[in-house]
Amino acid sequence: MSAAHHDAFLDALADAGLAMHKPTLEIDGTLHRYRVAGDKSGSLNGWYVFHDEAKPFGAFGSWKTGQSCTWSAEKPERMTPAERQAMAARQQAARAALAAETERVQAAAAIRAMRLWDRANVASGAHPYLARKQVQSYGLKDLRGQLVVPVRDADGKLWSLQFIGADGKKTFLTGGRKRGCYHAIGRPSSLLCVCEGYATGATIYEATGHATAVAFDAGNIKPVAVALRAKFPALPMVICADNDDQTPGNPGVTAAKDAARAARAAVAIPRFMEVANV
Amino acid sequence: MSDRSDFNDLARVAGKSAVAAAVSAAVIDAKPDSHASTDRENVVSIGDNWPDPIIPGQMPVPDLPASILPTWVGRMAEAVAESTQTPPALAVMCALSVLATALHRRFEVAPFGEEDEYTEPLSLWTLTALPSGSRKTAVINALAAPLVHWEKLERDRLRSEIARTTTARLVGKKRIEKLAKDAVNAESDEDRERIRKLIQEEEEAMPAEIRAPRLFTGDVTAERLQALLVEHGERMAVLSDEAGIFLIMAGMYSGGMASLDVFLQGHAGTPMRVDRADRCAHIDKPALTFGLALQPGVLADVASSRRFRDSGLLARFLFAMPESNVGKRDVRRRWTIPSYVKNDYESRLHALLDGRQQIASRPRVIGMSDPARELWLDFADEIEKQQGERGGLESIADWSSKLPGAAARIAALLELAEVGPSTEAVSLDATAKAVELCRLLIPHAQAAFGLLGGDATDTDAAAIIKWARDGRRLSFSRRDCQKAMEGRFRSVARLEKALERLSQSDSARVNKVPNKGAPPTTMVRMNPKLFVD
Repeated sequence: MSAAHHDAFLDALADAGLAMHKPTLEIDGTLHRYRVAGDKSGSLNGWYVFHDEAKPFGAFGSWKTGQSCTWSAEKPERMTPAERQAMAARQQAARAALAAETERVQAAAAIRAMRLWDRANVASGAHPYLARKQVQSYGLKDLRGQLVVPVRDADGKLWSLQFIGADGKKTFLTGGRKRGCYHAIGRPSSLLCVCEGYATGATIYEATGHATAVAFDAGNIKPVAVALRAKFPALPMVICADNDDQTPGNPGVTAAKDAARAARAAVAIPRFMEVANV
Repeated sequence: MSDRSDFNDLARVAGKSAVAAAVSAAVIDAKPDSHASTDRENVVSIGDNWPDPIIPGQMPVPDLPASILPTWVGRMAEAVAESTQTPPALAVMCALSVLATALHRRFEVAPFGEEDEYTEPLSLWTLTALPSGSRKTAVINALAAPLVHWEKLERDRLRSEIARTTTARLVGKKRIEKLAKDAVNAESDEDRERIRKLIQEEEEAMPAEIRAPRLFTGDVTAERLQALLVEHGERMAVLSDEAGIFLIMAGMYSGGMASLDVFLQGHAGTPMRVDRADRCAHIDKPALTFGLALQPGVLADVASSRRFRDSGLLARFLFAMPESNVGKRDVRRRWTIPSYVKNDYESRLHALLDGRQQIASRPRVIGMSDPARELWLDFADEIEKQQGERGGLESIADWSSKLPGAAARIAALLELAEVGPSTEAVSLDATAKAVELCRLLIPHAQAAFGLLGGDATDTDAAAIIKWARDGRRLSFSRRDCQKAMEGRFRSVARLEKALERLSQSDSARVNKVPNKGAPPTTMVRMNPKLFVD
């Protein structure tokens, strides 16, 4: 690969707002994760695949923002039909390989999740995180001082676990599936709420009595809302957004509105300005 | 970064009933209109559920509760606001300026400890904008009354001493004049030398000039302000509800070229050296406080002075832009400030002024307690992170960069007011209140800079709304918008910022429409409520 292609790929990452913290490319046609410039140390939110062919191409994206882009050294319209077809076939093969690998990793994680879930004890409301957030435990367990939140799909299958430390630090089981999975609080009757975090979900449940699905993060709100809409086609749904108004683009509200459009739901946004006015 | 973002935060701030209300409101808003077509059920939703847009530059602002102030000041501010039926923000800002008037130049706050070089003087510049007829004068008069009374008491106390020294100086000067004439006409060098020694003795024996102390003024020029600072212990305050001083600062009376140094140095406490043909002023630690209450129209007028905006003067003011009560007041209600509240306020303020006449060469430096410093640093960090590219405070970064300093100043003022001049360190409680107040002041500053035209993104966003309204464009692509307004938006980045502001204020929604084989098109959909006359 020429240095120009190398630089062009890095430029494409930067243009998409996904520049590498330390620009280094592994050119082996497999998926690599990296730290996006500006993200916290130790995070690996960015990903890319680079195929070093006569006309190099690749793909990149972010687990955090959900972006997914493709890149090729030559614009597809300038390629010959044969070249275009070859590139598409390779990308298709790469996607299939990625999907197969992801499926294998997620299946292994699900087994691990089940083992850990069985080993954990039922959590009490005295956990420091719950006490600080002033909410009760709904279907949570405790594993060596960490709260364990089950991550299940719409059929109830356990796929992964979220761990919440006493300091509020949240982690997921490595390799576990999260997309479209959630933690359900309460049983749906007249209304279903969907939100991002456990404490938010427990608060909404305690305040309204309506069943609440915890989607874990903004990027997962839409897949969860769509999965729940498929499961409960006629049930009114409210996406309870996080109002990240201090973050550029307000990702919480943006994701909630996007999910609401996809799942025919309403959006509720916490307004602190009004509180200040009271 | 704000620590309030989700419904758990809302529950802890406003209770679980607020959470339930927000969820219920969302459900009601999303219910299909009974008159709508039957297809409506398929398109519910938030897509048709537009909230009221906030026009850029007209954002709602929180009120500033009097409970943020120390007990006795808070009670008085609350009583004044109640009595005059004015928004509490006006009384809160005026009360802070009155506290600064009593304490500036005598104290400084050092967030990193008394030995550290970084200190903040306690001068404070507040500016409250309210329309004419909203009882600004009554509020300022009520809160500044103890200062006027103190000036009078001091004037009475010093009257005989002032008369004595003035007479002695007058006699001394006349005698020196006479001796100087005698020296000129002396017949011998011995005589001249003898007279010269007499003049020197007379000069040395002349008592220093004593002036009745002044704590504040109302309307003053930059030149006179320098003289006032020299005459009154390097400190002065301007408490006024007239636009005069503000217009002078903006250079309205001097072709836009007012001398601003005295104001800037008075805020920062940096040494002032003036050596002009007609006047000299050497001040080592000037302290200048402002407590202004002006009409919003005056602020808007000032926007025409580019130099004023660029000088950084505006960035030094803490703005309050409360909603006026005019038109909502109960004219039949007459509520007077309880005498015990008024007396307590006056006596506590006079206690703070005790010892003011002993002018120290340097102000006493007060440090912050460890938890207070941590809280202040967290706030400073929060502000810093919002000032970068695309941050919430990017467009008013010149103002917000001074906000942590202002928080330290306010914290020290609150501590001194509560504990008294003997206080050892700024406590966590005072710092928490100062930080809370500063957080509330942010939307006020955004509103003020919007009015002043200082927020370029707001101006751009307003221009897009006007363009969309003029052409009845409910929906358009980003590319079309840039093309139509290419004089304003030479870069996409600037247009994106304006669209983001519109999106945040519910004036528009921006989404990407995928195109097969081509980059997605960024589409903008304006809030239909903007098109309702």
